[in-house]
Amino acid sequence: MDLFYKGKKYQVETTSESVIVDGIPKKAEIKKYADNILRIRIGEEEKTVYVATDEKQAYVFIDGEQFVIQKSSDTEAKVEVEGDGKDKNIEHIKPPMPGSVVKVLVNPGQKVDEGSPIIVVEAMKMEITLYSSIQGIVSQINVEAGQQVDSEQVLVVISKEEIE
Amino acid sequence: MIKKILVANRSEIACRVIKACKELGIRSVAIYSDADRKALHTLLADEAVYIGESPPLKSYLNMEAIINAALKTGCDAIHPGYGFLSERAEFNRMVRDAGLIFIGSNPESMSLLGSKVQSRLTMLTSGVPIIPGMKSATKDIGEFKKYAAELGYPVLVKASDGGGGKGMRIVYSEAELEDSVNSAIRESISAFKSDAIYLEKYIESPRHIEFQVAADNYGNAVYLFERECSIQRRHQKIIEETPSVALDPDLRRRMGETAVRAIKAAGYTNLGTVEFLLDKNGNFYFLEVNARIQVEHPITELTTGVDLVKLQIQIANGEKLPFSQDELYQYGHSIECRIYAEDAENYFLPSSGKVLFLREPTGPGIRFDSGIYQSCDVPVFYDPIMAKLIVWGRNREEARKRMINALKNTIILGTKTSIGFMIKVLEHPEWIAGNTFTDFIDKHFGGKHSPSPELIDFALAGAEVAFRSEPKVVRVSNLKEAIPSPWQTLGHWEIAKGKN
Repeated sequence: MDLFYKGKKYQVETTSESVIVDGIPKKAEIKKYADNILRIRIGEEEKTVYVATDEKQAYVFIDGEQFVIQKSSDTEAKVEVEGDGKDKNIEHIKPPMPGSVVKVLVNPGQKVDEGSPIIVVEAMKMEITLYSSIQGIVSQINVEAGQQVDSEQVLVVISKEEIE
Repeated sequence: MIKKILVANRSEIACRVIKACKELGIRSVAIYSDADRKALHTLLADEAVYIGESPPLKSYLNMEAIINAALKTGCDAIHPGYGFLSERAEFNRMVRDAGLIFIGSNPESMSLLGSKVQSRLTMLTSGVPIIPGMKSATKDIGEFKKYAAELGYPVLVKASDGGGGKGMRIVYSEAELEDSVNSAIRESISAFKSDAIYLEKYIESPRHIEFQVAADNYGNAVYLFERECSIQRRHQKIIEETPSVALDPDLRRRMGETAVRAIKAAGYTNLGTVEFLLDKNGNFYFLEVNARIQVEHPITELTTGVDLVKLQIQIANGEKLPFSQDELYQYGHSIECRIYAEDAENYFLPSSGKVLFLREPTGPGIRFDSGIYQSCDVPVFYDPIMAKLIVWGRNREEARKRMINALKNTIILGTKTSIGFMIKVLEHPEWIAGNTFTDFIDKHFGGKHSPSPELIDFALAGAEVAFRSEPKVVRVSNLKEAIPSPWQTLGHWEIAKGKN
């Protein structure tokens, strides 16, 4: 099964006596105590592993440490594509979480620099300014102040200026 | 005589107040919004009343609806908890005008203290030391520039009516000043409905020490010692402890007596907290009075043996303070860790979701003040506090070890939490050495934290097993809500521009 953790893909298989990560088998034993409680031994080390899943990810808790592991590359793939690459030609400004738009700081057609503030959003009573990571022009504004927005919604589109 | 209390709050503090009511034989009424229909506090109260839609302005900040609910259900008092309307003098007055008891100070002292500018003036005239800064709020950017230059950068832009770090910005240079002022104004309007902003000198690497005070309606006032609240992220506390390693008996007594002087100067009654900044040289400055029960009140309860919420209700009921200053003492050491739904790997940004699995910690000296249960939602609309873990030990080291173990046994799956991060803080040599300053997290963790890489194989194996054994039933939960942190999808972003 392919799993994703922090943008990195892992090929993971478990058998009755081993855990195989990216083709490398390690001697292991996995005991399921209850729906959310596993006891896993890998090599000499033994840990109690708490795990719960929703449609997209597994929440894993081991020894006070939390791991959120994705089932598909959906969310993580975008990190690869959009990354912080300075070469990209278009930027979709999206809110980090569901919330509301406080203020749109740019107008359509406006020139912006890398690092220019674009829009202010608020969620859980915290105000967050989103910045452009590229130099370009504001090609699209899809929201206005006061509007409720979703985390996957594209609020503003910045396009790299075409030099002709 | 108070017989029935409406609790005008949600989550863990609403549950805490309801428990105090039960011990006093007082009936309790919970209020809830759409998002909180099945929240824990609605299950614990004797009655629960729907108050409005999920956004706070329509529900937990809806003053008329709350007072009407109290009247309709035959309550004689309202307990505001912390946050929301707890320090809104206008609400306090409306409650009194409706013939109900507001469990807190009187509205007059509250409006005085609620305004940081006014309270600074009062303290100044009563000989309580304050941080140098503006004597009144302004919107004139020229004034800000002039003042900032006089004080010297860095400076702190603050909302006069603010609290909890909201509407607060550290400004390192004049270039950032205007943006920070505007942003603080907007945040202050949104959170506190006020555009009053002022400036003061930013004291670097201070400790945040607060004193619990209590005053009855007959002129008696005491302090219930300090709480050290220096471990903060986003200017909000995350780990608190008492006693503070920075105080000796003499400094403790001087600060405590100053705290009592401060609330007497303001004509304050009931329970309150006087906040001080303590600099490296042992100078302390009055910051503000929090006219409410504090999130971190349990550490005082565990070391003094006083139930502070019950004390609030008893004072509101017209009873005298049941103890004098000489009868109060601190015993042992207590630590609180706030368990927020937030992403410690991503600058502590709030997370939301559903609690898919929960196991609460138990054991000697362990207290868990919770607002969640397994399968409940953590809505996006409110402060993402889920629970507080509080421990008591005979000394700091026993309390620290107990807390680390208790955190490891606090299993909350379904949202991101800062549990792993807080363990790392408590294991940090500087924390152990007592070097807890307000810049601790930025300095030692860069505002971020990552789990240990050696556990990744266990995590992957656990996830693989869990995904494979997933029941093939389509669940009807809200997909969107189950995705806690889409921050990864962002390109370039920053919180509160200005740092570095």
